[in-house]
Amino acid sequence: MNDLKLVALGFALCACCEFAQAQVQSRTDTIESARTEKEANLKPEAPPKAERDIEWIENSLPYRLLTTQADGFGVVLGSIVPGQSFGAGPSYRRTGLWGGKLGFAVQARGSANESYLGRFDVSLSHLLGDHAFLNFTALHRDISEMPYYGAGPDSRKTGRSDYRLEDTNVEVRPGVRIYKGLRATAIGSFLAVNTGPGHSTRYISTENQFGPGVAPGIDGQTNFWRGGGLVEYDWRDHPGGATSGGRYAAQYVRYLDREFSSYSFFRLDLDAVQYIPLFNRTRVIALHGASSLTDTQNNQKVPFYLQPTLGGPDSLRGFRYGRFYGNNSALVSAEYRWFCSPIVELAAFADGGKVFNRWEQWNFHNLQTDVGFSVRVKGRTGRSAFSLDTGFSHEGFQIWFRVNNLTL
Amino acid sequence: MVSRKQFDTLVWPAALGVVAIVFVATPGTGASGTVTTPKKFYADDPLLREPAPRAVRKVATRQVDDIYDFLENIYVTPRREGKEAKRDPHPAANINTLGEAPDGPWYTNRHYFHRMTIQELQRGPGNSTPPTGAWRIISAKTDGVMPGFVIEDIRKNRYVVKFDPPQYPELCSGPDVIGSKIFYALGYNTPENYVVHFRREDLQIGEGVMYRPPSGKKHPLTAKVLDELLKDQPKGPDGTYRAMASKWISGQVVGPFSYEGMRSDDPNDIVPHEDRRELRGLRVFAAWLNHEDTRSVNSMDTLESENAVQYIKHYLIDFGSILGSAGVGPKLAWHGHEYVIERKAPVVQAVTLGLYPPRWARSEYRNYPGVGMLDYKSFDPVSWKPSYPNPAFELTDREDAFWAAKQVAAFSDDEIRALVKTGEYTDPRAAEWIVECLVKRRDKIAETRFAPVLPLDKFRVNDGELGFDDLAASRPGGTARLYRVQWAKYDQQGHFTALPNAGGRQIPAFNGTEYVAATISCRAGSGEACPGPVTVYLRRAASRIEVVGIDR
Repeated sequence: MNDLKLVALGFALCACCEFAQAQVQSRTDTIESARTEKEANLKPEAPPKAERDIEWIENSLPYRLLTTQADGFGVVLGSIVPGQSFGAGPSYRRTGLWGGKLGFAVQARGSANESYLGRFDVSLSHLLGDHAFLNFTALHRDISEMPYYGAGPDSRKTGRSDYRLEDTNVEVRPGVRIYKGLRATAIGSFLAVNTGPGHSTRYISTENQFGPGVAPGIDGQTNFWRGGGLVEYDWRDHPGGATSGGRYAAQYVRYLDREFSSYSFFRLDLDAVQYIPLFNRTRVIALHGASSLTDTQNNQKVPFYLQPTLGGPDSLRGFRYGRFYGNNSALVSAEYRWFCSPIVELAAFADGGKVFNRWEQWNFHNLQTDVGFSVRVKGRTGRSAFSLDTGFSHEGFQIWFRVNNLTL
Repeated sequence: MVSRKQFDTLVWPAALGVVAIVFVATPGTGASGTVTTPKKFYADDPLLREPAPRAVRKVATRQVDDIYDFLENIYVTPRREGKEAKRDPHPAANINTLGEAPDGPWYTNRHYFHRMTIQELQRGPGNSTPPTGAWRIISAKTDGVMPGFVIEDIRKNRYVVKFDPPQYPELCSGPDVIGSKIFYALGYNTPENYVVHFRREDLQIGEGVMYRPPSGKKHPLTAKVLDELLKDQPKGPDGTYRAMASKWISGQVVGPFSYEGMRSDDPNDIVPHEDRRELRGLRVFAAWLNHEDTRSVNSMDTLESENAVQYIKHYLIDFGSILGSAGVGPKLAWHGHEYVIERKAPVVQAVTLGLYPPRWARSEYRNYPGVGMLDYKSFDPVSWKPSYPNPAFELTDREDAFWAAKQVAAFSDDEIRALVKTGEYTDPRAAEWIVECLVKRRDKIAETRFAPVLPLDKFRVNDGELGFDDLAASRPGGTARLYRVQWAKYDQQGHFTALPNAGGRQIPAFNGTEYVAATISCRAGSGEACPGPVTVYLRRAASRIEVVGIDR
């Protein structure tokens, strides 16, 4: 190409010089000559082919369904249970109704292991001069392979069993904004639960492995009225990718067994996360503590499918999802995140946690621990678009891949 | 646009012969009419203004796809322009024999060349027609990073009105106005931008105005929706909202300009944009003002008429992401220091576990919500980067950088303070911090960009002597240098004949058809670097001697 250019340049210059003998007597002439040449070869302005191709992709239906954050139809991706089969399904969303106060969303998802999820959300925001809100959710899940390893901290990894969990929860949450990030929410719901044999052929079905003594409620499921409240204070700078601030929440919910009056209990969930920014937010230390406590009265029991669990992408990342079931749980984790590039963040983390039977055992002794690292790719808004967490524990390692905060 | 690839394969061979002789270092012919060795200067050199534009007839309006622009410039541009810069490093192609960009539809020489008064600087492209009276919303702006409206005031003038992020009052509106003034003073075409204050009752909604919220569905803009949009905007003590109003640019909009190639439908567009001095030099200006968002989308071409001739005029627009603002919030610490996608730096950060934070991460940023993230300590004018590579910036050479740096250095502290004042910051400490940052960043630019060249400029003839300014020496802390001036006759065909009896700044005698050249070199003091010499060409024009060309 260079040789060709030189030849072309030579010819062009000679031609120009000859032409210029008669024509070009000034700098202005040279410019006008160039303009004349250009004018003789004008073409309509058009984008290059690569740009047209990219525009075509952007306007295609699959692209819009997968990427749109706007109202309308979309596709939602992600496992219904972390670490299990890939799931996908359609979604539809409308916001900005009733003067921006009303929005709703509906989605359905299915996965290859025959698990299904349907969800309908209605949100009423900016009520009473933006001091109140009301959320309504109807959720149905049919999960074919819920893992269960037995109760308590001493359950064995090899004791894995599966059960089917079908539940339907219709819930309303009215709330008030007290001051800035401080909110109080009331919770009222009806929860219907059914369990059955697991779908997996790799693992034994739970009812064949564990009796009601270990797994209360396995022999008869019930429905619940749920009522309670949540108080939270959230002052994170960016909830989707916080670098400073924190969120502290306490939720108390009473479960009332409607069928047998044997499985009524209350559950208290405490959760606190604090972000400490360093070096102009290019490094962040995130400290997380959470505890779920349950209690019963009059020899009632907490059904195993509603017990607090540990293990999975949001708790002990070096353990399988739902690895530990117990009446109570405690979790602490620390994470050091650092800026790798504007769109990539790396993190090193350590988790520790345990399940326990009695509140007196609420301490940091005999924790299950893991360590790991994480790669997070951030989108335009700074939120995590993809993340890959790898956790290592004495039970091996786990890899958790998430897209838009949904674990695949 | 004609891309570099298309230019190489299709247009280049045909057009190069013509394009190459357009401006500087170009071949020509002797006055006798025979083919001779190219002569350096024409009678009309130095060309201070491009010839009047030719009429543009059919012009297509086009947009640049954001994703394409990003991918092209992240993955293709750096390699292509890097290869080009190595294989065929060439100076800017639209400069005159003095090394300046002539006035034209892209650029007008302003503050450095014809010093503007404080009032003129503050006026910028105009400051006498802010929107007045009741505003009628005629459309809702749904592109860009912040929502806004197009309004019409009682004089039927149109404006784009944009708001600050609610949590960061003044963050975007201040820079948008300051940027329009500074880039105007630097020579670019910019819109008239105003900080405006209005009440809800000043707004009327025109008929059939639709609004597309972030959720995507278009619906009529009603009073209720308008209230909702204004709900989060903070009000001043007098109950008014603050916003930025940008006066509608006259002429039909035909899309943004590209930083590479040429428009294929514009007969006046004869220099590849990446070879334009004002676009290569923009890198330095952008670095000064931390304008990391120098993408095509923040430019605009319009069809304008002059003497009944329609031509395309080129604008820089949207300065809401300069200084410490990123448009939707404060800049992040990496802005100006890293491309969105980097190759080396992430590996270093990954391997060192982030235990060695880069210098910019350790810098000091003042916590003024209206300023965002702006500093000067971490600023390095040479390594400064926009968010992703810009084809013209990739080709910026030391002469482009010197051309721009001398203009940046020309702003005095008081002038910078006066320009920042147009941002109308309510917190004087915020305004003072911006001034301090711009002053210190200016000084760094001067220091680093003057060093590789002999920074002599403003050549002139006074009483038979050649005068010039040493731009580095005249800066605070600069030291005067000693120069050696060697005189020679110049025959226009590359031959110099030394004039042994001539020396110093005194111009030797020469006749009306001759050119003389003064080669000025500095005498290095102890420990001082001495960049290469500058050659200045003089000729007689009528009864006086004029400077006709400069080689650096």
